[in-house]
Amino acid sequence: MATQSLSVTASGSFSLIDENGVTVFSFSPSFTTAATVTDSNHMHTGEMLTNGTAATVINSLQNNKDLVYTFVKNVDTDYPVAVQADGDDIADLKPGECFFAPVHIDGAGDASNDLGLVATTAAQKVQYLICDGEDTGINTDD
Amino acid sequence: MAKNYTLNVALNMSATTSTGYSQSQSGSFSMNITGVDQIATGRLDCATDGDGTIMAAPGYGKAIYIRNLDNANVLEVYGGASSANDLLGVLKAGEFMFTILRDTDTVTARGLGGTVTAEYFAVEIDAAA
Repeated sequence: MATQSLSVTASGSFSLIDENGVTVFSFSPSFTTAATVTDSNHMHTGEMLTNGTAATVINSLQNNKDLVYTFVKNVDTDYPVAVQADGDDIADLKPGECFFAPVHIDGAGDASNDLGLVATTAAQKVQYLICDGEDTGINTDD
Repeated sequence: MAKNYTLNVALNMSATTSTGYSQSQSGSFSMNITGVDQIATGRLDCATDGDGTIMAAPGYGKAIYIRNLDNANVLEVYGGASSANDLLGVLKAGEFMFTILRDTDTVTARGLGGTVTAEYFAVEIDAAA
């Protein structure tokens, strides 16, 4: 039987500078997950135009809804785009902004949900990368 | 305290399969923030039987970073109280998340399977940011 084995590496750099040029804090986290076949099925990336202001989804039918490593970036120039998991906002990105999180997109009752995109003013483009992770043991969104 | 700040952010994610197929995404930006009233950063022990407060309710929105410093247990991060079931992220040992939310919800965290120490920052942002 064929299996899929997936691994994710994420890194970030964050600093806050005040109006006097003083660095308030600086963080540079990173991690790499062990390659695993457990719950691993699908990773995909792309660029997508939201369906006007109507709800739009990044199709996650083949993903492990209990844990997907998710990167989304607003690559448009005009308006914010909200990213939703199980109908709740998990990011609200103005043009140029991005977010990353290990996300649980499954709703109560393990319904088959997708990652949602909501452009509140007009259609906007986003880029994304989604990759399955191994279950954390959470079966619903709590 | 100073009221005006610049938050510099760079994020990278790559995913790889055992066949050698790999994809990646990255982004970087600077956010100019004015009128900041709340900056929270530090480390917090988050128990399994109650919500650890990462950030009190901001006036408009926030940029947050949270990292699980535990070596075994999972950290659940919520918008609002955990009873609201609004999960923002589920962090395994050593993992982190960064997001921006333009709402007035608190941010809380709870250990799963044991108390988890969270490393975090939470910066209030204004409407212009």
